[in-house]
Amino acid sequence: MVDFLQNWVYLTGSMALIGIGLYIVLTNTNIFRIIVGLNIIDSGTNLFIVTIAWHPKSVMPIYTATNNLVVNGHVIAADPLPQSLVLTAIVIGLGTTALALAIAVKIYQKYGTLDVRKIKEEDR
Amino acid sequence: MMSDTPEIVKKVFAIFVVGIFIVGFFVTFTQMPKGNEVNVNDTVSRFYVMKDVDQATQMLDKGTYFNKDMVPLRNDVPYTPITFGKSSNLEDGAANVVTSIVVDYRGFDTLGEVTVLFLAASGVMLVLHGEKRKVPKKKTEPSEIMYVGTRIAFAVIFLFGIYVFIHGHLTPGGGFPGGAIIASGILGLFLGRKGYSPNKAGLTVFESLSGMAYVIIGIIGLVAEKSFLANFLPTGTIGDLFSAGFIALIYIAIGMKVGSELSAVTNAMIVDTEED
Amino acid sequence: MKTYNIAALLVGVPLLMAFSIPLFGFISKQLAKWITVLTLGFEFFFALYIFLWHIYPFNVIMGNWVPPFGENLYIGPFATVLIILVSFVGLMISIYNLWSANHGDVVHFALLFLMFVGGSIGLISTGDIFNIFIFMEITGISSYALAAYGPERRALGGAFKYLVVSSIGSTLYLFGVLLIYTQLGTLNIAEIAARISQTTSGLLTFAGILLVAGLAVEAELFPFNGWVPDTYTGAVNPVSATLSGIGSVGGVYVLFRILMTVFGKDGNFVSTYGNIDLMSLVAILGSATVVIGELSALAQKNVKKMLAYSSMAQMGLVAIGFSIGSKMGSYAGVFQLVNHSVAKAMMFLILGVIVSFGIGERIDDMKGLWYKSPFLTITFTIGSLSLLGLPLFGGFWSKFALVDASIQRGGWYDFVIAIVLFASVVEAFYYLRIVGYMFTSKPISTDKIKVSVSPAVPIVAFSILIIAIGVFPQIVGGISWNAAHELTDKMGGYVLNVIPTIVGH
Repeated sequence: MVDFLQNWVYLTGSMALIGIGLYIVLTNTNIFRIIVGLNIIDSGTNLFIVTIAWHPKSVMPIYTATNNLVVNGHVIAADPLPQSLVLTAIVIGLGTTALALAIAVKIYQKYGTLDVRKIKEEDR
Repeated sequence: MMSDTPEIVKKVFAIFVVGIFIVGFFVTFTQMPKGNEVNVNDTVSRFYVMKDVDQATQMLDKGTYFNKDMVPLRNDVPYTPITFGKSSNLEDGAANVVTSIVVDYRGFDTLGEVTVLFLAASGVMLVLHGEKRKVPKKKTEPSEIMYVGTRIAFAVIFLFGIYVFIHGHLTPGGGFPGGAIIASGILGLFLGRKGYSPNKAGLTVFESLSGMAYVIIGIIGLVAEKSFLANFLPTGTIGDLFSAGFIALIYIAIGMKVGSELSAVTNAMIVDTEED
Repeated sequence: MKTYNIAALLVGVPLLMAFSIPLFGFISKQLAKWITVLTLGFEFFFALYIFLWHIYPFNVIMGNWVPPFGENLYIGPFATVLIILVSFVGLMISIYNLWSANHGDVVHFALLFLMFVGGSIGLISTGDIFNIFIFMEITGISSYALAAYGPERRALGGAFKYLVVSSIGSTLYLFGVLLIYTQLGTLNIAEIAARISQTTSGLLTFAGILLVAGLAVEAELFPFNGWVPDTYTGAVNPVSATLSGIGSVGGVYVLFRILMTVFGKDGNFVSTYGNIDLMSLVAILGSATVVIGELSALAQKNVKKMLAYSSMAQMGLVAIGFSIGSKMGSYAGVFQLVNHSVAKAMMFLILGVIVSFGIGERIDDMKGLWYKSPFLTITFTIGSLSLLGLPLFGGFWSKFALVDASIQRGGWYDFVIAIVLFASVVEAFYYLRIVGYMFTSKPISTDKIKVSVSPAVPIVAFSILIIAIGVFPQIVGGISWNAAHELTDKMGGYVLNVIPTIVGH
């Protein structure tokens, strides 16, 4: 029962993060807050990827002198493939955030505001 | 975004979208493996952990890997036990299985990942091109302690970053964390002295050369082993520093690249945004 | 399984050159732009070699780990035709950039442009479902930065909007991929395609919707295309041409690779596994896109915005073509994609030349262009006539095939015939209006426009290609037919070419 709950806690947490992030992105008009929302979505995604790779009795997927990954022909380690995918996802999130911030800096210089509504009015 | 729609409509719409998403996920979760049912033996990762992709490939060639219903018989692939510090000449010598996937089994992904970071750094420079650097203000000059302290810390952090990416195939870490650690050392230098500026041309050269080194390692694999990004070095004994073939080389390239790239991004971001 | 590992250079060479462009940039900015031309020239001729010597279909194995254990590129007929298309359009736009890109940080502009094209080629050729996500991000991040490039500040708003929508879209795609991984434990497209019916139906439906929602952003389908007008209008003209001629090609490719090869259920007309038939869903979205795009384009006074909406509508037609699910429908889709990509890229480039001579981009500003530059007027007319589907121009054959395929399918798809005809009529109205203005009205000043060589080369090449396709449709027809075969025959066309022993018993 505890094992079952442990996994669900993380799944629910990742869903909550993504829900919060989506809500922020859809409702806010401030560019900086939208970037924060995107970051929260990214964190939720990363948590989700790690969660599907993990179960409470798993060991780390690194061979050391004391850490046996394979017992009786069965792998007992956590799934290493999603862990390598999450590395990629983190780096991609970082790159998107850096670019978004650069565009936001430039928008602030050219328009003097970060409010999406005001920017749209000025473009008319 | 939708600037003309009233606030309440936007909120209801957002709650609706989020609701659909979350309900959909919970319905799907109930059909997903949960808790201790998550089983690595049901996924392709089993071969990566056991390092017997070659065995599985032989079964695939003989046609015995998939059964009649096209379900792969992953648990039937023969397995030779691996002992840390003793097993040698494995198909992939990295003790850290995640590293062996990142660099070796799915190395093409990582090449793309490095490119993404490179493009993000280039994009930041393209967007912020021609901006004035922030002029240092007189009132908050950092103290002497800060100045000396960050420089000492930089040496230690730099060394630690190199340690992390050289030991990427043995310990948690690798090129990306190592590079990020080095960049954080350089961030310390920015804090320690107002108006500090790294050698921009040097960073660019480093970035380009290490990126090219990665692709060239891939092309050497194409020439020597007839396959792009193939390992062309002996894999040694699992657990040794000089094992795992080309993984250490690639991680050195990635580490240098990520370090110089993140430093360049930090440098480009410090621009004057004051209104006048 | 046929392997041809040297084709890894299709992805390797652009990467190598992109990494080295900052070094060339130290020597000269012009050199950096020439490097893009040379690299894309290499890509184009390599792809042409693969096509003419008939080396396709083949696999490229990465790191000696055969699929489904490692990563592979799969280049079949569909990928071949699209790689040729993408590298040709990219080559032409890079020649145009020699003349047009002078503002700001040219070195990084050249680099990002090269990687946008290189990333699209990778996206089209890869055989791994997670690898698609990475190439989507490569094309994505380079296009956000490219869209923000330029002297005008409206570019920034469009680029930011694109960034937000597209990164949420790719997150949704990633979720779909992970849900599939939890059930099948693999990321190889061929293995997933063969085993997709072994997953639970709830997952199939939900993962399918997530994947469609994520990919529809790049494929410009309603309701995920709100970014299109702002981004295309804000960006400088060669970038709009790139997004329209190359970016959308990659998006459509992945969308229908996922729908038809991965989720597809073979039959007379391909449908998908799961509770909802995603092909019909996409057909509905595509129809809505066509109607909304055409009507919005009709209302525009700004030519660039009009081209943006028209581009959206054309992508809707492409999506309808593929979603019919028959061989004829996929043939129409591929053909329409080629025509749209070539013609729309050319028209954005022509607009770029016009704007650079101080003529505005409003429809009224086009009056009397014939007296200023017969060359630009004629090429613009060729592009318009192809897009609205006049006989003897490329667009005719694809629209003809589209109507033919809908008649064969029958049922609900009779409605599609009406949509195609409606689209053609509306397009005829708004394109011929501009063309009419160009020829009839006398301008106030008749200063001649002298087009220099570097922008003229791509425009001439594109218009020759359009007429060539119109007169000899078999140039594109033969390989489009092979591509349609690959898409509609899931096992024989794709899976068995990647993993031959999957049915080894």
